[in-house]
Amino acid sequence: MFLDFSPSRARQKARFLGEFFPAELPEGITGRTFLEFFQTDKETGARKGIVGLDLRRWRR
Amino acid sequence: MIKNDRQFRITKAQVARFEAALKELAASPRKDLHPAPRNAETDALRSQLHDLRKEMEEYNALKSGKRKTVALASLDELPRTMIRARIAAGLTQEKLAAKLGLKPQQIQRYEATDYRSASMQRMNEVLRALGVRLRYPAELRLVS
Repeated sequence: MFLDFSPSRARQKARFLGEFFPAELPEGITGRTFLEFFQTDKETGARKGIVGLDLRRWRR
Repeated sequence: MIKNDRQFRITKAQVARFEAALKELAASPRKDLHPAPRNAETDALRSQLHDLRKEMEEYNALKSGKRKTVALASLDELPRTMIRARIAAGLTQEKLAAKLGLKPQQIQRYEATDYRSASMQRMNEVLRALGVRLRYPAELRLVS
């Protein structure tokens, strides 16, 4: 399901109420593109703060 | 949904970034990666790019004035229908505000929040100013 992106990540949204965009490296082109995308305020085009969770370092 | 020209410009810039990212990925594929995660990255970018392009298409179609009607399945969809109607009418948020004797910021706020704080009376005024006619029959059902 994490690899099923069409249409508009519908299955992900239905199951998790969210979307998952994989990027192997946060500093790679995919990671940078999505980071910039989510940091852009759609109303103004200005940068906005977002909360980042580093799943690789996350421990219970 | 793209609601005004500024958002259109911002989305257009995003589309260019996603296209550039896809080009870069295609030009230098990560050979050290298994094909599955590699394809997932490309698919994720393509999927978001597709949504952004769809949003731009809808905005262009509305602005061109070719769309004369929109289907409305529930009242939840009314706020966005009102925004679509404004764009289709060729009115900016400022012009609609002027028609209603309101400050432009008021319409901007209404639209930014999908008219969440607007009263039914205000929604009616906006619909009248936009010349929107709601013609769908409401279905009546017995609910036990």
